[in-house]
Amino acid sequence: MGGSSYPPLRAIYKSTERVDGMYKYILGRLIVLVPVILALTFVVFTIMYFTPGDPTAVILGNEYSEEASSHLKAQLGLDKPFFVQYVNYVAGLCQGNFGMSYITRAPVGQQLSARFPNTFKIVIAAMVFTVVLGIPIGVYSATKPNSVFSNITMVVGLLGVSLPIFWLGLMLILLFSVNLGWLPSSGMDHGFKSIIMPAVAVGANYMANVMRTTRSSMLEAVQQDYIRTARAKGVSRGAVIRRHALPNALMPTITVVGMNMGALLGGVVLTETVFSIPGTGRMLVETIKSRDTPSVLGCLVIMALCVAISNLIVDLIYAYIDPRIKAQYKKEVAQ
Amino acid sequence: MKRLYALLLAAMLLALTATAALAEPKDAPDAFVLGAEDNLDADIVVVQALDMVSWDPTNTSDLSNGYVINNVYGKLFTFDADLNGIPEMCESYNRVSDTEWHFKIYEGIKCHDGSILTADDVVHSLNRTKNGTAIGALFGPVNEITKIDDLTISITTNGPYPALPTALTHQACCIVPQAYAEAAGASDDWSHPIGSGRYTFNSRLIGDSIKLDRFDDYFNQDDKALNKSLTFKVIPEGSSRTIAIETGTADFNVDFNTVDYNRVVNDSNVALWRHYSQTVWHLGMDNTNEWFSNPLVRQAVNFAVDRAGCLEVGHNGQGTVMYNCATFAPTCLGAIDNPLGMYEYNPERAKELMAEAGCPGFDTEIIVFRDEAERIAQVVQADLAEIGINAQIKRIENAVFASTIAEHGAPMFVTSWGAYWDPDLFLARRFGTAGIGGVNRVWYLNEELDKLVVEGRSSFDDAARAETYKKVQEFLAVEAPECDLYVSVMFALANKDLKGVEINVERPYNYYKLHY
Amino acid sequence: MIEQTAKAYATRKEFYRQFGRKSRGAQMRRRFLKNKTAVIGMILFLLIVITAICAPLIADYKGVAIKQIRSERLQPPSARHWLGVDEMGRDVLARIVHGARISLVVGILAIGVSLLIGGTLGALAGFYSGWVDNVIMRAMDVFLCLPDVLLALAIVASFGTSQVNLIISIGLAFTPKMSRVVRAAVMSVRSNEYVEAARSIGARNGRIILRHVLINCIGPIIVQVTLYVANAILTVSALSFIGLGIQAPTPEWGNMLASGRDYARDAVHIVMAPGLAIFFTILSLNLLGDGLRDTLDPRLKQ
Repeated sequence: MGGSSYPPLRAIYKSTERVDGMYKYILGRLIVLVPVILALTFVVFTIMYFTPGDPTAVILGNEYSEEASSHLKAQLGLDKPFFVQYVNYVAGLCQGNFGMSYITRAPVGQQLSARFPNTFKIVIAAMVFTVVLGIPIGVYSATKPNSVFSNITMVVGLLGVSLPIFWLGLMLILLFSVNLGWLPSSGMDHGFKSIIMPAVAVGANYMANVMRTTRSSMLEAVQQDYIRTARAKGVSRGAVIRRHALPNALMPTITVVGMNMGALLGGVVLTETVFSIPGTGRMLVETIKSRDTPSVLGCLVIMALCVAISNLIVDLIYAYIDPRIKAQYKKEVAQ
Repeated sequence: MKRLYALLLAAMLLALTATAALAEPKDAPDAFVLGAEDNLDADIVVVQALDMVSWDPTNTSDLSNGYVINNVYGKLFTFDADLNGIPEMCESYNRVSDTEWHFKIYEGIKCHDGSILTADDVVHSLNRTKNGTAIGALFGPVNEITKIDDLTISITTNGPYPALPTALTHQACCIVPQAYAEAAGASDDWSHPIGSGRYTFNSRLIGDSIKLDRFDDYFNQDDKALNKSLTFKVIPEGSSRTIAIETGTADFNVDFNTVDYNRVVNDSNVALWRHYSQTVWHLGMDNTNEWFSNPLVRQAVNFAVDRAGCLEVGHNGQGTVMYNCATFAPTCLGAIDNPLGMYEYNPERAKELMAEAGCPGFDTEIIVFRDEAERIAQVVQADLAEIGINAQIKRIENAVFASTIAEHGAPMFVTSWGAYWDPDLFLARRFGTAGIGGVNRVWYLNEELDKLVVEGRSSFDDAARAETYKKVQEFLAVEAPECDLYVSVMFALANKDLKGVEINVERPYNYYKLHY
Repeated sequence: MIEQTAKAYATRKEFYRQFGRKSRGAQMRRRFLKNKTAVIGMILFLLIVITAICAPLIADYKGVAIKQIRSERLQPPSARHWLGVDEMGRDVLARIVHGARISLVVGILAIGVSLLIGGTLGALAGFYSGWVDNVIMRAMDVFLCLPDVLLALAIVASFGTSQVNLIISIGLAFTPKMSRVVRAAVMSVRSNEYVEAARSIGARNGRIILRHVLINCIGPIIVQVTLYVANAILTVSALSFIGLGIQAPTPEWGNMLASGRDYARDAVHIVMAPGLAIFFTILSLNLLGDGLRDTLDPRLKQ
């Protein structure tokens, strides 16, 4: 253990041990990620492999003939048995090679790296929107549970979780682009302005969700004994909420936010279609329709990686906040 | 009293024409004159519905592709508003005999990599075209392409081929410098094209945008680009394309969605340009299909479809209904509107024909890949249901249309065809043996027609050719290999200040002239 | 003791009436009915279900819902067409009503499929724990890395887009989530005394799972099923919206939105109606789900 030779500095000792344990914990989780991604590529690869339709017909188009098809199959390694094809794909993936798109004849990795930033921007913007609006409103309405404001947020929250993303997107375009002319209706060429509507459309559901979760866990937290104790001891109301209730109440919220990563990425497919945004979501839809297997695989692998990594981050935050989990990974380190 | 009526009538007429004039699009000129105060350093953004496919010209005959790569590669001939060939890189040409042509290119044509274009490049490039199948049938009559000297090439044909210069305007005839074509072919990477056209390639984001910069060393300094850069934006949704022009995010929409016609025609902030077109929207049938192999069933389909309804939902009524079965747009050489006066909307006659064919009705599919086509297909679907044909509509991506056809996966389909003025440039490809595996999407095979096609090209006299094409249309009306629906009006929506708008019979074109 | 006494009375209800205690079902019913939003949700959902069942009575499918009357294209709502006419000249109300059938059938059957597969896997994992649990749940974790919409997209791409394929695809896409829910529910009751008791008298595992475990953990499962049906309905319309679900001219809310969006600027009713239809359906199920949660699982009370 790194800092164990400096017993007098207890604080440092404690923190280095924690950091060290954290590293091992992260490392362990990352190692677990590898088989998950492998299994996932296997599943997706299998689904796409058995998708009807001959990829060489797609590539050759007008030039299709039996002869050209079998020649191309050999060239692309499509004549090999299923498992050999899969192993080849994974071997390529390990070197960062996502293969060549059947339709555009360009490397899939190149397209992904050009498109993923757009998706990422929207997801991050949506998350920020979700957290920045959802948590404060949830907390505030929990501190005044029977006020008009609180009731309004409850209703808005309920309506919000039921809004279909693609419809909300269309309505936003009609209002802010067509009628008011404030925001661009499509594309990503206008910097921040381009991101607002897609992020709001995709985040509205989750904002409402986060708000509701925060509110209910906050309501529960303020009823706990230790809060009453603190109040009884004369700590001010604001301080109690900030120092005692909030950290505990935020636990479920963090889970919701983190689990939303997957749902957000699912929503991005719709938001990018509605707003014609060149991101991985629209790429996925287009390539699925044109049976461009390498591109579909690439998109799904990238998105799954995002979900897995955000799950990891949530676990880490959890571990950092919750003493019980902290104890658990300390134990793991000790073993 | 009479005079009062006359006056009133005149006033009413005047008022009518005045209001009509207000709500009419501008007619795009065939050519425009450059003004002295014009800004030639603008960055022009063109929006289109579909992305380009490939920088390899021999890869596809997709329109959205052709009108992009045209700007980067030079061609021997480019086309005018009627799609007839006019010289571009070709300085002079002459027909040595009925079967041999000589083409001489300008001296010192510079490519984007600094090299000079030679006859070797042209021969190599056109041979690639000839061996590719994207326009296979167009080059069907071509025997040999050879070099004569450093600037001259010779093309021999297996008979008279009057349409050869126009054939050379096809996107597959873009001249790719030999060195680049070989390198790109070897690595299968065409992503950074080198040509001798008006623009150099800057960047591309697949599915989103293509950026081109003006090539200042373009060989024809009198006809170089009038804008500094040209960006193509792909916006699949029709109303979003319109909004992009209205809000000024883009300058020129080449795929105007007629749904917005009434809105923009009265909007003084944008300019709607129009031109008559030879774009024929049609319903294709796979002639090898169990039932569609029967001409009676195909005729029944031609009687069953309400073309006016298709035009109304497909293009908001902006077009002309047609009763042809050979994609002869009304302005094509020798076109007749309704050959033999055969067809009209007549479901009863259709039912009779179905009975005559002994067809009890069947299930089938209509393949589409565009919004307009999907709407048309819904009209067709309802009409066909009346005569017992139950069609499911299946929407696919445009990229897989060719392969769907190749796999006989499209028993019926709705799409458009941009017809040339010279029928020889589409007849053999669309209905001849030579077009099988290419754009003979209806899989129609008939030796008699093949003979008529050869007859049509065997003369340089337009009147004689028109006679032959009349025969062709009558022949195909009885055979009914497909069902032509209507010719749509061609539109372009532009910023109201944009100058240099030109539209041809299949699409807005010559984007290099767009400026402010 | 009490049970024995109860035998002296003709029925259980009479006994409870006598002793002032309500049966468990009646208790729950009362708790549920006291929850106003839940009742609103239930009424709303029942209305939608009734509309869907009665769709042919409201408007004929062939004669109205897919009948194109071109002269009436894009007409705004009127007395003749309550929700207006769409871009093809079809009555929007008739299409909304028939669309409800598709959405509900696909949504509910899809969750049925996921309950069948995911429920079985989850119950096995939760009941046996150990390596069975490990294998099943690690496999489910893999799928959980993909959002359900994406998973449904990938599966539907390989199956093709028919109604049955959509049901299977969406069902499979929700399977991992469902297995987690069932597993957690099973684990929460697995070690209860009555399970131990059943085991000690030699009941077979299958019988224990079905008769004792599942019956007792049905509450949280019902809550989640309600919410998942909402999600599944949303997924159907999302897939149709991007062109990978129900195809035209079959009326489905998502494809109505997709084909109407080009006309939305001049005829907003075309996109308003299907959007609101989806919204109210999802809302009703969400309200119902929340209400059921409060009733069946008071610990989770929001």
